[in-house]
This record gives sequence, C-alpha cells and structure tokens, in this order.
Amino acid sequence: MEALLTIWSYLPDAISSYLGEPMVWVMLILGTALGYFVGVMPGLGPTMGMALSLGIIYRLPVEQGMALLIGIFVAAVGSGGITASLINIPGTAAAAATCLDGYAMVKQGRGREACGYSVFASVIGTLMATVFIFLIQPFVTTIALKFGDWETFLFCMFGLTVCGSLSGDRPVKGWLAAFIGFFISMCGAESVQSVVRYNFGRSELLSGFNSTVAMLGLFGIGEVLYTLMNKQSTKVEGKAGLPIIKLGVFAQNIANIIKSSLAGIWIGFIPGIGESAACWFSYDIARRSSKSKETFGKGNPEGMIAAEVANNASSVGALIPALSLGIPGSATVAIFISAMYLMGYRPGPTLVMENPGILSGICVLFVVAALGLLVIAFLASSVTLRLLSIPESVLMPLIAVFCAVGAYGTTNTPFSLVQLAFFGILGLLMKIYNYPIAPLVLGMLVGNTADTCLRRALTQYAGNISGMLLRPFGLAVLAALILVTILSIRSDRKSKAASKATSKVGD
Amino acid sequence: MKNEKIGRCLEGPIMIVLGIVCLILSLQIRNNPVKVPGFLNVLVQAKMLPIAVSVLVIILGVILTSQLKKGLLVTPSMPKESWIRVLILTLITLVYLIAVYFTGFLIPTFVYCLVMLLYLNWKQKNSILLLAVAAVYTAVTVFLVPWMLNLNLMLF
Repeated sequence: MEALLTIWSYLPDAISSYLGEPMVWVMLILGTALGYFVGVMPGLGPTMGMALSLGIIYRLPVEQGMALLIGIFVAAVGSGGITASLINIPGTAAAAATCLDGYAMVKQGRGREACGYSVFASVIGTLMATVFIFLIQPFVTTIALKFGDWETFLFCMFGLTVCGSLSGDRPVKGWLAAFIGFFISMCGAESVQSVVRYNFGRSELLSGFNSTVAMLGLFGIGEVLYTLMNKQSTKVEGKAGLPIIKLGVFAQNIANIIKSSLAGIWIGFIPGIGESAACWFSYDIARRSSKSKETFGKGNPEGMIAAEVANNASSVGALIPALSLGIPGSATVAIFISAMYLMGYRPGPTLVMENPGILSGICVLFVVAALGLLVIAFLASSVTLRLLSIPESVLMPLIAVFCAVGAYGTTNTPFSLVQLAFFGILGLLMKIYNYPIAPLVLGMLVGNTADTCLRRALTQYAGNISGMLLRPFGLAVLAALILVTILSIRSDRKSKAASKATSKVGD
Repeated sequence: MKNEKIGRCLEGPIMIVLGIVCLILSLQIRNNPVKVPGFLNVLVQAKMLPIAVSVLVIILGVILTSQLKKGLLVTPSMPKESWIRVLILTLITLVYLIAVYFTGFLIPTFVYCLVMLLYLNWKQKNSILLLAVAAVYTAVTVFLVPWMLNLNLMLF
C-alpha cells in the first residue's frame, strides 16, 4: 500500500518530463485542435478521432503519443456540447442531453452564453474527475491487486451484463452485441494451452483480430457509410462570437457540479455504460433537485452544466477500471487501452507498479488538455460555424481513406484491409439495425481476458471449487452481477409493459 | 403486407442462425493437449466458453424473435432509396479496399476519392473542383501523412 501511495510523489517528475518537452506541447495542441474538430462535427466524435490517431501513435515517442491521444480525447468529448447547442445535433452521443437546454438558449439569442456553459462545464468536469482519479487510483489499484483470476472474470461479466442492460429500451440487442464481440475476441490461438480457435486457415488470424483495425472499421468506415446513407445537410444558424462564461452561475451551481461529477465518475467506473448515459443520468438528478424544474428544457443553465460536467467526468472516470484492471469503462477508453498497448504499456493491476509515473503523467496531460480546450474553444469560436458548414459529402471520403491508411499502418499487412472491410460492414449494419457498438467493443476487449481468467481459476482451484466461489471480493462482484441481471430483467419487463400500454392508447 | 411483416421479424431468426453457425464453429475447436483430471477437464477446454457464448446468442436470438413477433421491438425500416445509396457506397468502398490489397494505395485512393466525391456531390457538377479535391486528398493521405510518420505505405 505504501509503495502504491508513493506514486503521488512522481507528480513533479511527470510535470517536468511531459511538459518540459516542446514536442509534447505541439502534440497536445494538435490533439486538442483535432479533438475540437471531431467533437464539433456531427457524425465524427471522440471514438472515431481517437481510432484514426491509432495509426499514428505507435510511430511517436510515448510521451508525444500520449499527449496527442489525450488532447483528442478531452477536446472531442468536451466540444460535443457546442454543436448540440448551436444546431440541436449533438456533436457526440455524450452531448445529447445538452441539446435540450443549449438549443433553447440559442433560440432565445443566448448562443454565446450556451457555448460558454458547455465548454466551461466540460473543463470543470474533466478537471474534477482527473483530480479524483489521481487521488483514488492507488487505493483502487490496491483492491485490484487482490483480484484473482476468478474476480477478474466476474468483473468482465459484470461489465458485459451492465453494458447490455443499459442499451436503452433494447437490452437484448445490447447483450447480443456484447456476446458477438466476446465471440470475435476468441478468434486465434488462446493463451492457456495455445489451442487455435477458428482462424479459418489464415495465419494472420493466429493472434486474433487486431483491435485497432476493428475500431477503425466499426467507428471509422461504419460511421462514414452510415452518415453518408442519408442525404441530409446540416443547417447552421446563429452568429459567431466568443463564448460568454458567467462565473456567478457556476458559483451558484457548486452542489450541482459536485453531484454531477460524482455521478459521472461513478457511471464511468462501471464498465461499458459510457458518457452518453452519464449525461442523462446527471441531467435527471439536476432536474429533480432543482428549485426551477419547470424551466428545464427551456434554457436552464443548471441542466446544461449537469450534463456537460457528467459526460466529461464519466469519460475520465472510465479510466479507473481501465488503468487498474485493464477493462475499459467506455468505447473511447477502449481505444485508449488499445493505444496504451501500442505504446508498450500493459493496463491492469501491475501497470502503476511497473510504470510508477504513468498515472501522474496521464493526469498532468488531462489537466493541460482541459485548459487547452478552453483556449481552443475561444480561438476557434469564429470558425466553428464555418466548420459546421463543411458538407459531410466532401469530408467523409477523406476519413474513409485515413481509416484504410491507418489500418494498413497498424499491421503493415494487406490483410488488415480485409479486417477493416469486415468490421466496417459490421459497424454499418449495427447502426442501421440499432445495435449498440459499445457492448461489442467491450466484448471484444474483455472476451479473451475473461476466457483465460476463468480457465486459469478453474485449474487453480481444481480440488476446491467452493474456495474459489467464496473468495470475499469474488462474492461481492458476484452479488453485484446477480443484482444487475435481476434489475435489468425487471426494467425490461416494465418497459415492455409501458410499450404495451402506449400501443393500446395509440389504438 | 404479409411479406413486410415477415421482413420485420427476420432479424431474430438471423441471430439464431448466427448463433448456430458460432456453435458449429465452436464444436470444431480441438480439445486441449494437456488434460485435467475429472469433470473439470470439460470446463477448462478452449471450446467451453465459445460454446457457452454461442448458446447464449441462440437464446437471445429466440427472445429477440419473440419480442419482434409481439411488437415489443421493431426492426427499423429504411426507404428503398437509402438502401440503394448505402449499397452503392459500401460497394465502392469494398472495391477500393480490394483494389488497395492487390495494387497498392496510390491509384485506387485517387480513383476512390474521385468516384465518391462525384457520386456524393453529383448535383454540384463542378467536376474540375472535385478532381482537384480528390488529388489533394490523395496527396495528403498517400504522401504527406506517411512521410510525416515515416510510414512505409504500399504505393503500387
């Protein structure tokens, strides 16, 4: 424990090693600018932006690669609310709740104010979650180190169950996506006894599907084709101008900000839910506890602040299980984990022991990227409306080619293009038929770990299975898993009953 | 009308078939080379979890079918025009990826960018501008970015 607590002492070193290098600043600024661009452009988003950067990251020194990635991550999640406010289309799924009050403000002629609330709340959410992670991560890692193979398996299953059950009103589709992802992850030679599983005679598949190429296909090619499917063009309204930040309003909302941050971090911590659920959850909490409930949806800054603080806190909070257990909390963090592997890190309980300065380094970059977002949002405010006017029909072919180049660059084999095509079509079909992609990605990333851990645990406790089942941490995760399954079945029944009642009323 | 109703319920049976295919593939996985004594040997097989997951996919497929049949879930429908458009776009992208596989990035990338831009911006009829945009896109993706990143791209 003491050894883990010393990771805080690496903060000065991290500041000097990361921020002392000019190229890290260049990459951070570039990443933040790129992140802002993909965040405000409807149809792009943090997952696509980060997936596209994977083809570049492994060519860069670790500090620079990390700076580029975190810049994109923070700015893309944080800037989605600007589009949500200005054109009533969330730039990212995480900004969906921001549309309600943000667009209402724009219609009232308070567009610059709406952008100010969105950006500043995003920065606050990121900063609060980063500080929280920095303080809590050593303790979480201490618990994670007590996790054996059995607990890790259960935690993976917990993530998949929660992830599926929170796929809106269609948990069955969420679970199907999760298990299909789980199945895909088992392709190739497994790590316990090197048994080859469905590689279809291709030596390239002996190490399984490449997760980076899969992300580029699912979030890149799939998204490009889906976006281009409809001939809609974005209508941009409003006038350009610097965002207005009313600090007094933020001061009045301190309780709201703290609640939203904690709610966001908590949702981020549970694997697979992601920031898109956090914004609605937090918006609802803010509405319930507000004195002016009736103005929610009509331009109330409380709702905007709650949604934006929560989705950014959630995106950072999703790093907690990722760094301590190697299990991604969201799709964006799934890409973050892939990037960490590309950079030579092994996310999991031993990460901070093998690389004691990594937590401080990540936190420093998050803080600087959040402040960078604030600067970029101000500098780019005049060009944001022009950016939103770029037709998707001109931009999307370029993104498709970047995906192909990135996929080839990741593995240096033409077979990655076949994988890219497969995952691109899969992503497109999933979007068309309303299957959530996040559970599939989570299944792909945790499937192999779950399989290896379960089989190792069973072998380890060969003569004493009850000893495995009665491990205290395992029991706690198992209880949570059962509880979530029961609750999700109950909520599924309730939603079915509600939909039946609605259809009767409709008749 | 009846055909449309069947089409709306087809998603569930497709998932069941997918689960069955997964199950068949999982059953074909060979046994572990090293045996573990007793019943545990069955549980630690490399095929055990893939089989379990395939069965879960089949069960969820059955649940999905029943929910679709009862009208609790609805398969999204798209206008024919959107289907044709997405099929053309997917086909162009697939041809591009196959062409890159065999002939490298340079020519297919330029042709792909040009064809996509022409198809998507047909009404603008400014083919010279689109040709220039395609050339810029090709230069950026095939030369500039790989050069900046020291990436050995297969050009031909």
